[in-house]
Amino acid sequence: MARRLYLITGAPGSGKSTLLRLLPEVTDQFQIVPKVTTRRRRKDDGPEIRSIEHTNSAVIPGTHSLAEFVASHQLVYKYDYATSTLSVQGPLPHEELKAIKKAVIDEIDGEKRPDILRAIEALARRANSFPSKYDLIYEQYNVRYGLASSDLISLLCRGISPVAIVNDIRILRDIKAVFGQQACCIYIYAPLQAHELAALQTARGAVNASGGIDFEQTMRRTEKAKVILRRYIENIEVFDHVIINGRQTPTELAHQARGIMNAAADSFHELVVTEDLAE
Amino acid sequence: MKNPVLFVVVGASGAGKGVLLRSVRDMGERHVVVIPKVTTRSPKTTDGPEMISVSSIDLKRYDIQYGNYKAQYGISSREVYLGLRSGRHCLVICSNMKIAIPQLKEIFGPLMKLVYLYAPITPEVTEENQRLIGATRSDETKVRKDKVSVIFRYYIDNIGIFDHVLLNVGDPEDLSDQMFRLVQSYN
Repeated sequence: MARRLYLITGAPGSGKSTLLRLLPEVTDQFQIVPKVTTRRRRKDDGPEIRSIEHTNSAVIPGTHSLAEFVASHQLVYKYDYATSTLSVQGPLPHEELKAIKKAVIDEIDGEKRPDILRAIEALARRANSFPSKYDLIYEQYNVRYGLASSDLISLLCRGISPVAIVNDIRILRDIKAVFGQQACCIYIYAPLQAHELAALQTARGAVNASGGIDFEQTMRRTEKAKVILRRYIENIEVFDHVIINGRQTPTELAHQARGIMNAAADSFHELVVTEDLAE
Repeated sequence: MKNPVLFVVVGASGAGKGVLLRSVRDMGERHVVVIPKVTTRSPKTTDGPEMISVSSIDLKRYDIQYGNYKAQYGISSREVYLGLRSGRHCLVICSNMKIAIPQLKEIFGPLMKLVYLYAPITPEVTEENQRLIGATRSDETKVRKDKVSVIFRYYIDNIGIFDHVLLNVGDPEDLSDQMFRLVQSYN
């Protein structure tokens, strides 16, 4: 099977993770390239996503609200009262940044606020910075994602097809500009109705405090699905193939992936024949 | 136009081929020429100018012939060549996977871009659509209903040979938008 770089784009619930799970049935010559992100890992995240892991700290005056915030996020935040140091392990997502600012500012004198805000923002910048190898970076809904082109290249050099989930058109275009026809953009589409998406979210644990459907999250994801479909519509030429995840079985999802990979292999065989003739 | 191509659109009954043709016609012949087909079936109210009913097909002129629902259809490769030679893209709707599409591929090779027109339609929707356009023959309606899954199956089994997919899953404008951008990408 020809080595190619497969980039998968799709809305929430379209079947991207299922497709990744099924890929071993299609080929063993692939490797999922995880994206790093500035959001915290979710329960339903697969191997295609990885949160930043480094720890950062900053000197910030302790307040009652900040202590409450740290107590409710004790898996990732620590506060050292002796040195007035707040430490965060991993990223510092947008909502948490807002909460920290509020927790500190509400209880601090006005004139000290600018310096403290600068310290908090500097902490967020450090916490959300990617290691330097990540050169393909995009932001969505206040969350940053990064891929390293060096990871893609090293896999291709070893004869392995890298597979990554990328929902950003600029990144897809950039990768295509660098890798040309070796980059294969696949859009995965599932004709899901709003209630089907809600059921899917519930199955994935998107429930509210009382155990019911989290309508806010479902609405956000429905909105995101529309945005991603719009990206396909407006950039149709970027995509080489579309996998339709309709009412078929998972086997048929794998069947479509196999068809795409075989087609890639065929086209590369054609190239080999041309070279032989030229000699 | 730098690289005029022939778009061959495959889509089941009710997938939105009529909407697509209308939007292509709205774009104007400066962008895309719709290649007419001749057919021995009687005219339908929904037929556009690209569907010409004839009593028999001129086999010399319409060199690509195929049968569908007990009627014969013909496409002229010469008309496609004339369109391409004039520097314009051409478009033909054709869902005959056994004869016409392989023949078109053989004639036009890489100039042909195979496009799948997808809509999440069910056999029930197809039946209703057929009723609305006044299809009276129940056997034809049944064949069309069956063909919805056959065409989808064809797409799934041959995904690698399709160059593009138009998703007809929202407003008709979205379909026009996709077609327009597709055309632009070959300019």
